[in-house]
Amino acid sequence: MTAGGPSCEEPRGHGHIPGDSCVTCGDAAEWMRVVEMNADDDTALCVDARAPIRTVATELVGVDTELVGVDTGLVGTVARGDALLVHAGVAIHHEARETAHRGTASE
Amino acid sequence: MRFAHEFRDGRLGRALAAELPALVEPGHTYRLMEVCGGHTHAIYRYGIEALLPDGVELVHGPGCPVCVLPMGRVDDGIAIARRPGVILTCFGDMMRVPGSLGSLQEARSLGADVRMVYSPLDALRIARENPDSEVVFFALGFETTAPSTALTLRRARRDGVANFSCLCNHVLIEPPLRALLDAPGLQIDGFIGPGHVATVIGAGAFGFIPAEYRRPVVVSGFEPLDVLQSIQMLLAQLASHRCELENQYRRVVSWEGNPRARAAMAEVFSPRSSFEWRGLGSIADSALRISDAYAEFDAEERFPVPGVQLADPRECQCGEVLTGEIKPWECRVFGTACTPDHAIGACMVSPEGACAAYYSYGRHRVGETV
Repeated sequence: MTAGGPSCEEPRGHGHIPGDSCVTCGDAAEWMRVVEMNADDDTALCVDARAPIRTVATELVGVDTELVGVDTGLVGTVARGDALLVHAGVAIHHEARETAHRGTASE
Repeated sequence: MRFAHEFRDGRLGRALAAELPALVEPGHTYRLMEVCGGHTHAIYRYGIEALLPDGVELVHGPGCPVCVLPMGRVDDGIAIARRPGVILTCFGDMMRVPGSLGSLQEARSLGADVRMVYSPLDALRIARENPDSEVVFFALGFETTAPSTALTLRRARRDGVANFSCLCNHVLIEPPLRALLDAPGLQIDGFIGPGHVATVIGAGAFGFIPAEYRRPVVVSGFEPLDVLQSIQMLLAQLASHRCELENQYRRVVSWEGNPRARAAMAEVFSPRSSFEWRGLGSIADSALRISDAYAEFDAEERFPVPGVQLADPRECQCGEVLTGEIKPWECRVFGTACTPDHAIGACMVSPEGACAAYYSYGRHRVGETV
């Protein structure tokens, strides 16, 4: 994923949503959606939660944006489709898929 | 998409703003402090101040971790970065913060190996990829960021990454708020509480503000409607003579916060007996150091650092901006000697800093006409 703004320009492996501030230096965090889990290492591959995703029934079959790694060690077990609030590459809050999708008719 | 779009609806925002005048007593001034730099940024980015009725004034608090870092700590980072064989990693905004010896960015231009990272986990990866170098992470931030550093040090220990260490500048939100509230003559009527800090430490952590200081506080999200609604909730409390802790950001923030994150912090960090804050001076138990249990990852143990307390440049009024005594555009060097390209004070360096937000979104021009 590309860098967000003028501040943090060299991220590698962790998401930084395009914007105009350094999410790490402010009290900022970004929503991401889990695409693939690695339970052995407490990490997950995620996409920007605002990005379009393609599903068949409830199965995710494709994403249209780059995958980024997120550490899930502070939020416990996550599943595909869950939403994570991510700060500095680490999830600090977790919403299970059912909750995360409620009211998201535009997706 | 409910995570962002619903909270940026201009029609809802205007409807919410239309409710505010009824909560304001004519001729009365309401000074509300947004504690967090992220809120400051949102307020200017979305023009929220322009939606407020006369008499409602937003005061920008000390919640930008870059802005409150004193020059001496920057010098400590530069001293480490200049050592042969050291790779110093830091967040982007930290690169340009001026110390007495210049900035980390200037140190890099003079040959030091200073690299920007988005996450402390990126710094740990750099350590794995450069086993012959000492990789130091310049850690800073409030309780939102401290858990990610704690998690990284746990991983460094688990994976035996011995060439990694951390220069810890993490700070805590409650002590500076108490310092502000204890200041004589404080004229703040209510607080917009930091939503993502509260995600970690819990909304309940801010209960001391109404309980001990008789000021209402609303823990707030960061989208424009979040901030507007929080202002509405504060004004409603003031109008009805209530003084409570309310949680506007309930979709994320619980009363108790994230227990895993708090446990990680308790394992890896210990409180510092004292820490110097730009504009606020030394505040007891207001910052974190690496705990004895993780001392092998403490850069202050591994490398000599100057550790000198330095006064800010005389012309800089960051301290008065951070305590809400003056507006950014009232600083004597704002927009002239001090700009985002040539920052004298840290409040102009970080996009979350009040001065940079004012400057970037043209609010200083409003100030000039007042």
